[in-house]
Amino acid sequence: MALLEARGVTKRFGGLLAVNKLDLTVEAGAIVSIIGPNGAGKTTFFNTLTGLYRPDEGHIVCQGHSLVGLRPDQIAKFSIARTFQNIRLFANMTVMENILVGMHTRLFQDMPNVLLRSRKFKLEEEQAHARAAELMAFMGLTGVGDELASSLPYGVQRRLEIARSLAADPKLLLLDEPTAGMNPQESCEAMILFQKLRDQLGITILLIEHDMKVVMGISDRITVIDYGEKIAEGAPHEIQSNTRVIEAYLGSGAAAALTNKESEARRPIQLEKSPAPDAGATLLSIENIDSYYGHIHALKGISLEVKAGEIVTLIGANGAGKSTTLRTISGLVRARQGKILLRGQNITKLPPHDIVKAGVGHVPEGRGIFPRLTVRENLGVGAFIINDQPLVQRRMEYVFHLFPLLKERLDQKGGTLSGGEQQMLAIARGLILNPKILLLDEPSMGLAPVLVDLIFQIIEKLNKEDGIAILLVEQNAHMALQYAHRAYVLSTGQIVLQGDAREIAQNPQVKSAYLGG
Amino acid sequence: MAAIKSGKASASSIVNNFLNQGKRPYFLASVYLALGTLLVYFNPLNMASFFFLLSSAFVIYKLQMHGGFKLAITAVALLIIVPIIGIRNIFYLEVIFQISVFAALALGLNVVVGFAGLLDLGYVAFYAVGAYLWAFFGSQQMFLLAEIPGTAPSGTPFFLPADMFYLFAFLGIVVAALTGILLGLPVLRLRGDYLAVVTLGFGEVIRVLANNLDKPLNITNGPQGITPIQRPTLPEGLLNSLRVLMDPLVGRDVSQGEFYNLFFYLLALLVIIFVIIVVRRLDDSKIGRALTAIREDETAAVSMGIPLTRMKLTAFAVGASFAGIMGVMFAANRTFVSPESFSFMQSIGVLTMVILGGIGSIPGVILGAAVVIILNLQVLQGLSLYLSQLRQSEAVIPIIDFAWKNLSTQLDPAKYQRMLFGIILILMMIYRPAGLIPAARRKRELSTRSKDKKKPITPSSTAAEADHGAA
Amino acid sequence: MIAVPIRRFYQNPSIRELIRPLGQIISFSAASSVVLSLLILLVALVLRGTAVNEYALSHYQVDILTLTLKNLPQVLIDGITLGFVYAAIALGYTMVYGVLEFINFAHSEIFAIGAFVGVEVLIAMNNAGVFTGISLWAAYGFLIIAILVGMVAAGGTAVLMEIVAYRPLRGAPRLVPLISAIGVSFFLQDLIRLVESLTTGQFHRIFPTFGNFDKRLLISNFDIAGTTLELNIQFKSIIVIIAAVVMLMLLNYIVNATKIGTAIRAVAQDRASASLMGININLCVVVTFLIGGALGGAAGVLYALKFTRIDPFVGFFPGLKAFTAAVLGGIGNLTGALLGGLVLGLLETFAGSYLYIFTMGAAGAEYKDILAFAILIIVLIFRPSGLLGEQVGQKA
Repeated sequence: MALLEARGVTKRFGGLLAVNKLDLTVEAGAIVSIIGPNGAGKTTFFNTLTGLYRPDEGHIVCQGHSLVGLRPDQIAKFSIARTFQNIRLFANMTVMENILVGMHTRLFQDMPNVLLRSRKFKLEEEQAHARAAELMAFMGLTGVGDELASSLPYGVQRRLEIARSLAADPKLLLLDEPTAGMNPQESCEAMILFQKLRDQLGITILLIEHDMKVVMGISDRITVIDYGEKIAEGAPHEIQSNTRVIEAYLGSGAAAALTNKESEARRPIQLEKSPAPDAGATLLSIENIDSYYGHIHALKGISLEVKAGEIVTLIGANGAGKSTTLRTISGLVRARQGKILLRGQNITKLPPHDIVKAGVGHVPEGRGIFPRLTVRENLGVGAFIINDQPLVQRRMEYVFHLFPLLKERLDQKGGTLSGGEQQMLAIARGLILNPKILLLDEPSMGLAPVLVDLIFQIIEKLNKEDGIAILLVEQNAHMALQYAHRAYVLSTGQIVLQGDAREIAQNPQVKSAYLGG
Repeated sequence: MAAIKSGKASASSIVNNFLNQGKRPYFLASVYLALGTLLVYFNPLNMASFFFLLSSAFVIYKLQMHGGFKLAITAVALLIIVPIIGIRNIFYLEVIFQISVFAALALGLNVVVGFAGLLDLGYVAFYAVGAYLWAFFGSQQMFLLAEIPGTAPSGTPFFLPADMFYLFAFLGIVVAALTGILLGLPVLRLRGDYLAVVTLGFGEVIRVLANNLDKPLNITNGPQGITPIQRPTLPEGLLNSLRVLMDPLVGRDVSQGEFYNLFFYLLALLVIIFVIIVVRRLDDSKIGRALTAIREDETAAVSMGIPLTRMKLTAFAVGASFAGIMGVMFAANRTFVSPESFSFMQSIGVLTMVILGGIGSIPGVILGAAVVIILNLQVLQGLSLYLSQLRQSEAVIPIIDFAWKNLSTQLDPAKYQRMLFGIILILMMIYRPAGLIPAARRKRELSTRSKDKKKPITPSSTAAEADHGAA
Repeated sequence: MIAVPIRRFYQNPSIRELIRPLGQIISFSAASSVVLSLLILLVALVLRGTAVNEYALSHYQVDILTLTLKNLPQVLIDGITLGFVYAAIALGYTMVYGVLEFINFAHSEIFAIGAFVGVEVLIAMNNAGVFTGISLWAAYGFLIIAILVGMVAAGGTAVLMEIVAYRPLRGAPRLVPLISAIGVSFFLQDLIRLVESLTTGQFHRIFPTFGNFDKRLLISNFDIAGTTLELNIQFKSIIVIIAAVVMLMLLNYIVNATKIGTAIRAVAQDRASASLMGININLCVVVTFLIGGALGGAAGVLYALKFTRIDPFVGFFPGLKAFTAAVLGGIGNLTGALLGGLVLGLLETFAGSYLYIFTMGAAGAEYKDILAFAILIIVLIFRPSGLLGEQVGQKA
């Protein structure tokens, strides 16, 4: 009998269909993975399963009990435990206490017992502490039990979160991107751990994961979702060769490249692309930057440069520090150490709005458009620092020439635009100040393949025709490497590889990390 | 910079090591306490010596000594020294009594704000519930329901015997806890800042009710408040034997009123010990951990199976119950309650104690209560006294040539508690949000690490039981 | 045919943003008056068969329905006046909340500072003999000066408070700046007291009498159930309403039709994104506090004009009620603050004048403060996003 069965689960947010009629069966003792591009609705589905969201339609049944309409704490009592995509530990509690909280559903002390310190209470506490110590040993946390969770390094926090979820003795464990931010070796260890959990403890695992190597390596079955819908399901080898999956997950270019194994690229124009214009002077240079994201040491001595007229791409796994690099450049995250120079001017310590004035345009991850402002107002805010109205008009004409669609939507609210239109608006808004360098953070995220192509063509046009240097962060590595001149590969906050984009594309290390080959 | 910092750190650790060598801390603590006692005993009116004595609590708390000795020396201080010097100067007893009352209130609020992270700005409402509970039943009010306030016929009997006080102290806990649950049920789903405003509103509602429930039935006697309220009886025999003991120590005859002060001080001490035990046991249990988890991250907590509403209600009820019993005691001690004692400012005062001492930290909160009460009762009052002396003198502020006697009589620092609370709150939030004695998490790993370390992990036997429970 | 130029005229954004709020104000006032009047008449109708009717007959010599009807017009006028005061204060809460997602607890003291500064200016003028025998125009001129000075003082205090007590705490957990704001609120209350006691020796100040503010304007005479009912309105109520309307229109214009207003809205929606557009976030926040504070200050002077007597704690209840109004309308939403203010002002006035009769004297106007809190709690429980707010999905 299936341990968990979801039938036709649908979740809407306003007009957005985040999860659409999703079916999923998890057999006891299996490791099942859910994959799909960013924004496909994977985490929303998890939240629906665990009761944080109530599904709008559909059934979720666990061991014969319907979970729909139950509160998360009631669902947890069905021996379902989970971890979170962005690690949610109890930051100001010790490691030991975090694990003890995880045991909540397994402890039965009531108020009188607690206050009277009965024998029963003491015994249970003793057992709980012993069990916590066991779990700490199992997860390699021995010795840090009295540390505050917030003081732990990132990788240890991930392990603690898993330990905490194990404390409830779950039958079903939901892991949301557990290897995000881990280096290949750590991911490998995590993979072994997950197998051990299943084989030794008999825990069924439902996994959301981006690291294809992990997914392909340990899954019994894989479900692929895109736009909230299931587009494929099957054993790893079936998924690996499914064209629709490759297209959705890795971009249409990748699909082409992978299916005709030897083709260098889809469009001949890429082959003609001249290598980076060496004549270009250094526009942006970053020297030895260290940044922290909360307590996490996100960037560890990153150095890179972008020359005039170049497209440079930063690739790497989720949590590798790509976005943090961009955010550090534009001042949203403060560099603790190192220097950022824009055409020789030190912009390290400037506030974000002055960095924009210095000529850095930044199109943030998730687009960052203002949903309750109209398209016109969005562009107007983009041109905030220009006081010359005719100039603003000319710049508007320029972006309408790039994105004619926006002109038709001028008085529509930003939030009512489609994903592709929002991305266009975000890029247009970033261009309106005529930046010297444009930082693009995941411009293809959550977009249909045809739109991804369009966005990349625009990026190329901007670079070729208007000579704007571009620093591109992209999950769709294949696509990014096709269009870029040079590339840097990031892993856990460090640059592990750099060079000519085409060479990087051929590098087996990159291929395996990204395409699970 | 770095060098200076490390130098400082090592200097303080040198001092620490020096003070805590061998038998030194025991000697030091005893001498400090004895010196303080003697100073106050022979200078009952000198405030500096009183502060010196109070600071010995901090010294005892800080020095590294055997737990049993700390307990013993604290007991000596609280049960012998404080009563003697307290009766010699009854004002000190009042200060210490107030510190105890507010420390208990602050500890209760700390369960709500510190452990569970719920900002309750109407906490004093529960205190009012307790106070009015005994005020109503422990006075003649029951027979005055139909009377217009201020027209009580003389010779109205009391409704209940005075010693029912003890029963009502217990009832105060229950009724306040129920009030907490009643208020909590609808509002605890609200997000933190909304909750704060709603609880503030609740506090005001209670005050408005106290002010206006003198009609159609005269329950609260309106703004005039209820008086007299009975105190529990002190048996004459006990008093006489105590007199034999106390009179020589104090150096004069001790009146019955002073014995009542002593009695309420000891009662407050009892309650606060009870409160500390409850809070500590709660903190170190599944319930306390669940509350802290809710404070840290509600989403993660609920995903661990913690029922948010029930746990928050627990916190509310526990916090409210402490206020309830203290309210009953307050009513009996003052023999008078009126709505004025339960204003919004009182709630903020208690909050200030929690924030100043260290949110979530038990010793911190007690220290916070002590500091705020002393600032209130002694420093501000002292300033007032000083200013009024200046006003009567011929003194002049030199440069601006301002004669003190022209200073407005409205300027009375003792009435500037709000400014005091305000400044404390702002400064603490900006510079030291964790408080004077930040909450420390319990160190637990070493005590359990030795056991069962090598045992391989197995699904524990409780899993099966729990499944039945869930089904 | 005429419609075309009018439409073109209206399409000019600057003009549209000035006219639109006027339309909203009129329709909100009318709608909430009508709805609440109907409700109260319904209650009166229901109570006609009960002892309440007897009570009305014996104490007021008319039946309950007539009594309700008779009081209604005056109650509506008073309610709308009070509503505009609440709305003007509520805008300060809602603007700061919109931009920083934080309840500026000390806004009630900003209001009090505006009231005190305005009144002190007028008292100083009065003492200097400026008001003796002045023309009506001059009286209004001086009143406007007092309002402006109050606005400057309140706005300045708000900005100072932002820089000193809130800015260092930006990004801290939600409750930290809230506690700091409570501290600021308490500090300012006593600061007013301190300054007043040092300079004037007393805490209570009285709005000086000048001009024709206390006079009443007769609107019309009604004949109801045989008695002639005089419907009139105090000049100061008219001033309060007009001043509030002008301020609301100006605010709407600033927020919706100017560059800095657009920037503020952008900051409210996505702070990081806004800074990537070259917007100085701190500047926008300061402007927000300045505008909100100035509005609160003006409301303070108007409040003093309407209710005459002020003390250092004058801000507490209006502040709490204005916050309730902001939540009722949908916090973060300017139009919502207006609607919430009007509804609350009307409800409170209704409670103040009808509760006593409807409960046969058992509970009177003293419970109108409780009413505001009851509304706050009910709104927060059943519709936390308020009447006009958008439901915002929580994110796990």
